[in-house]
Amino acid sequence: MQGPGSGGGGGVGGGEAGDMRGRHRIQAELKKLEQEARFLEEELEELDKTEKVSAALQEFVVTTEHKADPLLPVTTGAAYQSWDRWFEGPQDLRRCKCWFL
Amino acid sequence: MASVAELKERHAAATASVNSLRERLRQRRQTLLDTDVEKYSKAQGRTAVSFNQTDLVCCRTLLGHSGKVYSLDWTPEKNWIVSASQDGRLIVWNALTSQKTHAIKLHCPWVMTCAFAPNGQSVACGGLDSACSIFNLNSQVDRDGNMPVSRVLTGHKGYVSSCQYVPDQETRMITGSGDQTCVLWDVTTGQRMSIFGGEFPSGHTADVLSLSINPLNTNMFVSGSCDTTVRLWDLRIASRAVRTYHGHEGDINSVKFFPDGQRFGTGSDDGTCRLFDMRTGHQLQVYSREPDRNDNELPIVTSIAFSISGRLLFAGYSNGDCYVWDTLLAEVVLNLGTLQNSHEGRISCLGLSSDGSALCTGSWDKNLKIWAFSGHRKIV
Repeated sequence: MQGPGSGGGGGVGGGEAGDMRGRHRIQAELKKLEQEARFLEEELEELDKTEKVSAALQEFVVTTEHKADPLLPVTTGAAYQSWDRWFEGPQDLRRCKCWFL
Repeated sequence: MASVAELKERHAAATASVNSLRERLRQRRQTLLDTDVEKYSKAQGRTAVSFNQTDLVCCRTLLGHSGKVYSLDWTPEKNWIVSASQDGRLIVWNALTSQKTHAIKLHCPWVMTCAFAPNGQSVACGGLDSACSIFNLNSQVDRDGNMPVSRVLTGHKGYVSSCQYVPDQETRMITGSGDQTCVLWDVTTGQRMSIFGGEFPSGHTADVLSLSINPLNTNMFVSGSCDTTVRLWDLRIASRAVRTYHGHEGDINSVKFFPDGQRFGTGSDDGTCRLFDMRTGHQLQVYSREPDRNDNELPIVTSIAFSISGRLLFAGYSNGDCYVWDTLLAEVVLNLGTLQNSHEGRISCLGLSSDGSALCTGSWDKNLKIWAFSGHRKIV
């Protein structure tokens, strides 16, 4: 690639330098667009081999339902006593030395 | 050498080609959306979770900030929470006792995000100073009573909107920024290890507002942006996003991985939450509010979190609502915003404790609240 100021006629000045900057900018954007087009084409090919939404849902629903969850009224698995620690014992506010900021 | 005019022609052609490919992708993906989680679950005979009005209660109110709460994070193991506020402070709380263990005055009061280190010994925060500051909680305060900064991570060219330590690694952290990039940092040296987006194609094209690291595969994380997309990144490959997820019509304020690490949820300015499949890119479900009877604008979703099984999706909204969605049936089963002792302002942040037994909400009313299940629990 020719260096700045060496291509075309005219003296060195804002016009030619500006032209060079514009060319560099457009080339950089063009490169990005061409790269993005390649990524999108790859994604299209991948999508051809991708299953529909329904294919994964059975596993999703069953797995979600079979996990223990302390915030659910009905849940599976073992419950831990520590889940209820938020309601146990007095909060000893007398020893609390924090202050409003 | 091609002239500028020729380059401009090629640029226009390349733009048209990219737009056409995007449309083809959108249409191809649409043909694969044969159902969604709600339709499938109902067809399988599932019914929504049923709460009594007193099942989920506010069991703690953490008072102490003198400004809006913007961000919160739990420790992985203990019952501690760090919160960040408009008052320019981080506060570390023992959520069980409601005590404040640390109050850290920040050099830059315009904080937007905070995070606890995996070992609970450090906290991090970031904001409009475009940097991420790390504080060691064991440090001695200086003679003015201020905690010294132990490290500042500088390099972003825009505000730091989000930060998260890589789980089980005290030494690595990811940040999201208004400069449209995410960065992986070595916290011990302060060096940027990788930059996701920016100069490379497939990066976000607007501010990054949120991020979430996959709990089951910590090499993967997702970022949500003002460009209305979520992008999936592999920590080992910074040069391109693994996948881009389309669907939302507004800024994505919050992203969180589903507990199984195979899916993730999002919350957006378009008023909806969505569930995406990480591997296939499919949008599995949209969680949309009913429009207001008075036809007011839909409140935006500010923050989301999943319960530990993923059955519940908690979503904070700009009008103070905190909807509890049944993830499978796409129904709102409770609104914490209407319960006794609820917040009096916008919910800005939410997070579950590590064992899933408590939800913490942070609000523009300056408070944090802890919610837990106090009803009769049936184990099947």
